[in-house]
Amino acid sequence: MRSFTLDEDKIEMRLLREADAPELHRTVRANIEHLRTFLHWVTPDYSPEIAGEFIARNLKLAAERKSEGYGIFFEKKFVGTIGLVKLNWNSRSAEIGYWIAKDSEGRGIVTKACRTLIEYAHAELEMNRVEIRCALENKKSRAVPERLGFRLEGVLRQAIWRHTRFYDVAIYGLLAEEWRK
Amino acid sequence: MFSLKVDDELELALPSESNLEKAFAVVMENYDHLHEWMPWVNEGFSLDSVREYYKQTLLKFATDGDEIGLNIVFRGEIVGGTGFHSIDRRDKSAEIGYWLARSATGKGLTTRAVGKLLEYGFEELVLNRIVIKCVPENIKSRAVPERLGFIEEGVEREAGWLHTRFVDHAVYSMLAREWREKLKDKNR
Repeated sequence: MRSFTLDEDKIEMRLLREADAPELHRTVRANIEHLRTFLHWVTPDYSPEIAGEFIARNLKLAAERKSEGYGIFFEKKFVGTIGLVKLNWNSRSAEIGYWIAKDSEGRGIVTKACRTLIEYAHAELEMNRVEIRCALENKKSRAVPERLGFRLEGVLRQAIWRHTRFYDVAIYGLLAEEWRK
Repeated sequence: MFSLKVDDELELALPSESNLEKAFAVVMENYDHLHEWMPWVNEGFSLDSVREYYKQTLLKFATDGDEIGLNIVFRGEIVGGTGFHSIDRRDKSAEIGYWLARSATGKGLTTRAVGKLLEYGFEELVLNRIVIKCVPENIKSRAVPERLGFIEEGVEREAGWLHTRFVDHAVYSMLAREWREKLKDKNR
């Protein structure tokens, strides 16, 4: 099963397996308030079953080559997920999505994990375009593509509904030729 | 069968097995015209691929899926296709696409058809946001959202693959509140 280690082995990324469900569930539960604004699947009734279903679906989608979702582990502890959430083999493009637990923010973990995934997407999967979509007002999330040299291509107005209202979405793109530079 | 009447001479009709061959013939007669901008008009296009598409789109229509594919019927003849895809019920958004036979261009048919889809999308599907994506060099296609008052939000670079090359996608959108404003202005 595919995995990545980086940052002198402090960070590991690997596909989540069934046995990870309790830890995924516990981490999401501990971060409900932190995560729920921008992630539609974070709801007050988030249960171990939902965590298990997410992992099963994730493995199925990976087998079908439709997406690749990885758990992020920092010093062996599960702290969030990152994934190529939409693999378009026709237009050779992929979208990256991520979240991280509140107490693991500020260490650049997501940026590093993202850099690894971009390298993998371009070099191994031969993707031409990597895209990141963030709610316009989610400054911490937007900092990731901005640090990595993505270009802000537009702002999609009221593009997503999260719990109580619509949010504008910033769309960032990075092309293979730009990444190589 | 489901159909949206645009005006006396134009309607948008759900496809059926009975007009499969007619629709296929229209594409084949316009192969070079459509090949220029339509990724699906390629060597893989066949009667079977249309049949498969009809099956999928009818199933999606029947099950409130993410797509509604319609034939553009002008004075009783199929002259093109349009409809919604990427319908997202949670975000209340969808995308509109369209194509037209060369002989039917220049009459504003696409603009009229899309105008009708806006009404259906905002009122019946209760959408909040409707998107049209065009390759920037496709001037005729861009004229449709521009005439209808869509806002251009940006350009997704190299987001599409057109036969032999990557193409950019200009993203246009209209929101429900903007559509209602336009309607009010029109009726004033």
